[in-house]
Amino acid sequence: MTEIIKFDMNDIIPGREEVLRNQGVIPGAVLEDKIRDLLEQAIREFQSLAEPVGVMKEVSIGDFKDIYKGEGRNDEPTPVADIFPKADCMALFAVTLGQKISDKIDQHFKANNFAEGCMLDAGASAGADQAAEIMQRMYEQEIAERFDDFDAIGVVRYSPGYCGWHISAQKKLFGFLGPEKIGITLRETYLMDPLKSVSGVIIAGPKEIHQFENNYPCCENCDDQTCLERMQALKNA
Amino acid sequence: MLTSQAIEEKIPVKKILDEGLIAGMNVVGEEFKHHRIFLPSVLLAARAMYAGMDLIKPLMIRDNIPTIGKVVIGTIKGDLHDIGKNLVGIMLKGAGFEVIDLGNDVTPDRFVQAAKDEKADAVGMSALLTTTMTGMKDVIELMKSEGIYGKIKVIIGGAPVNREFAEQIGADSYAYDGMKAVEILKEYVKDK
Repeated sequence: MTEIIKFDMNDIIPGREEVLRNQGVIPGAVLEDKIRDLLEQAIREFQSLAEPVGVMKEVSIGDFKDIYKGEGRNDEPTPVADIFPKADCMALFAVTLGQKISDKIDQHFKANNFAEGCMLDAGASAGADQAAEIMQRMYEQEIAERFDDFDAIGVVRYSPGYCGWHISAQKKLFGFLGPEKIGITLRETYLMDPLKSVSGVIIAGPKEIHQFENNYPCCENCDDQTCLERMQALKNA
Repeated sequence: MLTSQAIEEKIPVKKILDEGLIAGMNVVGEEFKHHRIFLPSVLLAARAMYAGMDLIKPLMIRDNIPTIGKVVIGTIKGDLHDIGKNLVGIMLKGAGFEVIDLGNDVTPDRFVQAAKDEKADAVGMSALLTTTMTGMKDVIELMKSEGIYGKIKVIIGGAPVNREFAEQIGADSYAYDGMKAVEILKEYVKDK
């Protein structure tokens, strides 16, 4: 069944530290008043312009196998390819903050208000991630009662475009999930409009299936530490 | 304000540019490099720089004052994430380069055609997705077949990209942020 999810704005307002960190500001750094004002302005714009909405639909391992394969352009092997066959259950998801916030970011840049544009962009990226995180937690809550020992279950989301899962898989993901229902469309190049959208699969299974050595071909030239941080967080949970 | 004053005082445009605007941004760049200021402050300074540039641009054209170099930039085909590329463009302009920004989702053909048409000194490519960064190699291959590889510097950047990747695909340089891109390209045009 497809679920459309409306978010409470208070749940997705980005944390101020995160917005600053996204722009390379060292935590605890002393900021000029001007920068604080920019930050507060971006938070206000976020609150007035973001229209967060999500869609989620459970998918079987069999169906996901085809979605994952996409147009046959994935790396081989990839972490997701090794993880999903061992899953207990999974769901496709997509979230968006809507078009207005992206338009505002563009307006800022076109008006040479670079600092305002960058601050809002950082806030919107953090907000979209937060919305995806909430979708993941919602799925966790939904499936918890299916398991006798839910503490042993790890629930983690993965997105096309990362870790060797080619972005062209978006086409089949969209075909199955239908994010058009919430206003997300796919370009010919498999990217989403509005830009501040996140899509992917939320995979639930024994925690250990999400642990992997970062020696896949896709890891060779990747400096992103997010996967390692996630794995560590899962271990500690 | 200060730029208007300098123009009124008939200070040569080249001097306003080199010893005023660009020199100011150089100070900002150094402060940023040493983590004494952060990106939002750099961007506020860039806005002031742009306002000054708007005032002197007609005078630069009148006096036929060249920019220090021309760079074609864009986000690679399949990638819509252009904030990093925009920041690089802002900082390059702030350093006195002419920037031809092709936007996002740029095909190899467009990169190469623009580099040729504009007689660019360098091509700057950006990617955020690990699965689109490989498209940078396609641009370089096309540059080779069009005979402009080696004549036009290739610089790449973006979250999933690193120095090793740049070497693998045959890019001349990797820049982890806009300021580094400015530093590399300034050295390049100086040696040219």
